[in-house]
Amino acid sequence: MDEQTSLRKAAFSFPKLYNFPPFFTRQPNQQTYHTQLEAWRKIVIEYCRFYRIWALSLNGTALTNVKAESSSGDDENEESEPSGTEGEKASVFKNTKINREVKGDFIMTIYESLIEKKEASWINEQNQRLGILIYWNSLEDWATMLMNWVVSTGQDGNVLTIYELQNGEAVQDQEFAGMATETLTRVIFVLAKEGRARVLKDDDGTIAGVKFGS
Amino acid sequence: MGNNVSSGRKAPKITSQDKAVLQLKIQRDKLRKTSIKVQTVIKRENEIARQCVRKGDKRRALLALKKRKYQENLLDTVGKQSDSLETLINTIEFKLIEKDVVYGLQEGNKVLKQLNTELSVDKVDKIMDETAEGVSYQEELSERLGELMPRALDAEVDEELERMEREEAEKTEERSKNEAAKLGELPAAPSGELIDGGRKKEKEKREKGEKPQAVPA
Repeated sequence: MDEQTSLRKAAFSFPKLYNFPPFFTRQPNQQTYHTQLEAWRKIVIEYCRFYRIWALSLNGTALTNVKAESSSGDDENEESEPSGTEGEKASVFKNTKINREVKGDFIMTIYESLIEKKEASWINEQNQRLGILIYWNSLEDWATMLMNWVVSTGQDGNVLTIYELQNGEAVQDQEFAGMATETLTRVIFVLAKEGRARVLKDDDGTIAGVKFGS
Repeated sequence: MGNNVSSGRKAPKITSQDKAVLQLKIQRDKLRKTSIKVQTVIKRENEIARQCVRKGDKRRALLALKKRKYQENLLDTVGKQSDSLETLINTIEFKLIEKDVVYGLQEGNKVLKQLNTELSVDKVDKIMDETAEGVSYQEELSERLGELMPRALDAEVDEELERMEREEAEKTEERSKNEAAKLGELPAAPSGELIDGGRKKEKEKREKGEKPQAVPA
């Protein structure tokens, strides 16, 4: 994922509104507030799409290592975290140019609005501090994309690992490449519900692979 | 991951082979991850060695290079193992397809056999015989019909001839009657041509008038 972000050297171009200081505080006027909220939703989605961010922390920085459990037991996904390049991460909700940032409770409102629109969901409903998954494509769209890729590459009926779907060589040119495990799991569950895929679990109960039907 | 597991009802079945392939693939993924890890270590050791050389610390540089060498060997082994795993996975997946192919062949063969029993030579011979019989019967039938046909036709033709004769006889009778009447009324005929023309018209008229009479007769 760090490769892809570095490839797109051009920075995300925020709308003009982003340089307007009042945009960063909740507007008292109901109608203005609605427009404001909508604009923020759009910015978050497009920002994440641009930088291929799958999840955001509660202060709006990108999460590279998404975990549903707070216990940091497994270090399986360690390499997905590019050490060094992280440093001081930029937040969507922080505009250093005009020195403004969105406060925590308003961020929560924006997040809740995104969730309501099914454009996001908590990584863990019970522990919202872990962050939020941003669906810059809907889960259904991701599911269709994934299934189309599987069928077009003749892999329906085969067993594929989660890792393969994220980091496999065959996946690299796909839009879903490098998808966060947590997001991918949900996408797979969409397919499983439709009966188009079946989840294979590891001995410890974690999802290890998927078998795609047709 | 806290989702309730609701696998679809029609979801593809998972066989023991699938599980085995999955395990192999997971091992392959692990090797891939390891190789990425080892590669970063090699990079780092290389940098360290370079820095140490710059500083003039030969011993440390040598150590770093040794470490790098070791990691490179490791990478090589990892690569080889990964390759053999990949080959194994491919072989298994292909064997599974082959199994299906063999099954398909077997089924196809069964159907072919069944069809062959249905199409036995005896049966075909019998059918051919029956067909020949049918053909000869048909021929005989048309022969008979050929014999019958002229007789029926003859009768018809005879009848028609009789009818025509009757009609002609009636016509001549009537004409002679008319002529006799005309001869009595009219003075001498003016010229041959005109008589001809007049007669023709008369004839046509008469024919038109007579026809409906002739049919019932």
